[in-house]
Amino acid sequence: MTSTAWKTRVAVPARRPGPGRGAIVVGLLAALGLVALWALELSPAGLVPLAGGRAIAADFFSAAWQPATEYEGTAGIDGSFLLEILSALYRTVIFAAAAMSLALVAGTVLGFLASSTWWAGDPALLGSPLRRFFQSWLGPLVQGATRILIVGQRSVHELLWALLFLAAFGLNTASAVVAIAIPFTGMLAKVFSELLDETDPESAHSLRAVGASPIKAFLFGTLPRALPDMSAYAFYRLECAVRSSAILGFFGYPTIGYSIRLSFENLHYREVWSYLWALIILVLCFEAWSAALRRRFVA
Amino acid sequence: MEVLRNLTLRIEPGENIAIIGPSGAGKTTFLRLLNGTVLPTSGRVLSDSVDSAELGPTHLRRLRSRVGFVHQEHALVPNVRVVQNVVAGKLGQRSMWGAVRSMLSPTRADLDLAHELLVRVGIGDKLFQRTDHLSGGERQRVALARALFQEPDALLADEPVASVDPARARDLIGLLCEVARERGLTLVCSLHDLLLAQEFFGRSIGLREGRVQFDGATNEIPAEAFDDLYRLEDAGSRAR
Repeated sequence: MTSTAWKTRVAVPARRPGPGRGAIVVGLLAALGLVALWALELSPAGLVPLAGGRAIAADFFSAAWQPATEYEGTAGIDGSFLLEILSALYRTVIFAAAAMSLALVAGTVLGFLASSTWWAGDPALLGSPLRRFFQSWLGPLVQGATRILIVGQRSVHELLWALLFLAAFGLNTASAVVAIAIPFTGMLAKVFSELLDETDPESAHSLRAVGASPIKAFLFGTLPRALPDMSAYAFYRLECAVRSSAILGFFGYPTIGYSIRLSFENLHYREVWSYLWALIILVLCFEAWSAALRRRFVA
Repeated sequence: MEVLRNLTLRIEPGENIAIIGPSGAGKTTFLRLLNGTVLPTSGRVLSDSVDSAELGPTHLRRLRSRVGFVHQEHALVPNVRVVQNVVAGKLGQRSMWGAVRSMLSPTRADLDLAHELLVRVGIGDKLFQRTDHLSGGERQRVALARALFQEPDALLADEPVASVDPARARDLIGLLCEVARERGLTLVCSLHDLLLAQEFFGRSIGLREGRVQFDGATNEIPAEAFDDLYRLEDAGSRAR
């Protein structure tokens, strides 16, 4: 018994596969990282402030543990500082929410149009020439155009869009909202279309078998399966929108970034830290909310 | 690629047929030809003397809506409630607006019918559960309830017991046949298990590499015919 087992054992093939292309790519990327560090002459010494700056740095970071609860310079300012923090937060969220609501609608529509499952027709239903034209020409054309549009939206950062709109339309609310909404639309559309295409098509196929049209099969078979991941990503983007909205304040829009800039320019570091902590708490709240939603979706 | 060849057969209303054959024999394609989700590249499929290849999209979808297709359980939408998966059986018979309404908030009549069918397949208490909280066998029953919700003229089942244990498989096939009989539905079911075919199906069709190997009353088919059907090509890899 043992001797036959020995005889039938199969030898390891003589030629083993060497390091694949994957290993080479990883190696090249690591080398690129090292070259970048070397080219920038990056060293920890850069983070050690000069003699004059040391006092400022100490001031700034020690302020982190004693954030202001009222205005530091009281000259000419009425009203409560805490109220001002809340209203700055409110304006930040409002800008983000307005941008996200535009991006969510546009991103969903473009995400559908960019996905292959949306255009996957029913091969057995291609009777008429009109349908065949739709399936083999119009579909791929619209899908391709949508994908190019999405890449265009994503490749320009929201801060650059904001700069462009600021130059073109001046400082108004709509230009800030649209500046955030454009790249966010592109990112939502790209990720939505990928999530839809990765969804198991079996559910949609089974609905076609009950006589549902391809669109119904998509809406009731594919979409519900992708929805938990899509909403988790949308939540993450909302969090990003809050951060972007805060940053737009540095350009003069009335979000929390504007308040931070003013306090910073007046060297009121404790005020700066109050705003920063408020922002951190806000983002943590969003995180807790989206985690709770994720648990509900998965359970 | 030709999946099925030289296939000529006739299925009478109310018949109870098992399609048997190894993986890749063309069983699924055969079933999909019957409900018009696949059209033949040559030859014809007539249902009630209507050629499915000559039907326009609307009529073809109507044909599909009259044939219940019991898919394997993973074809259900996992993250919605059982009731939604069952009510989806009528998606082909409803307008877009009606479909949206029935999926978001089903009418009393839909709920009653869905519940009645779930009770019939033995899981009446699962109506509002999330589908992915059910066991594999229970999900297979949901798939059957969906097919029945179509109020079909015929039932097709594509290896409905591929992923359940033998005892549950026997239960499920028994249920499938019972339900088909009490409603007077034609039943065509693909299977791997010869014993199940012998126990439950009056007629068996053996498929191998796209050809019909045998077709007739199950109890008249000799045992060798079954053996031949599953014989492996490569003698070296034979198990026995």
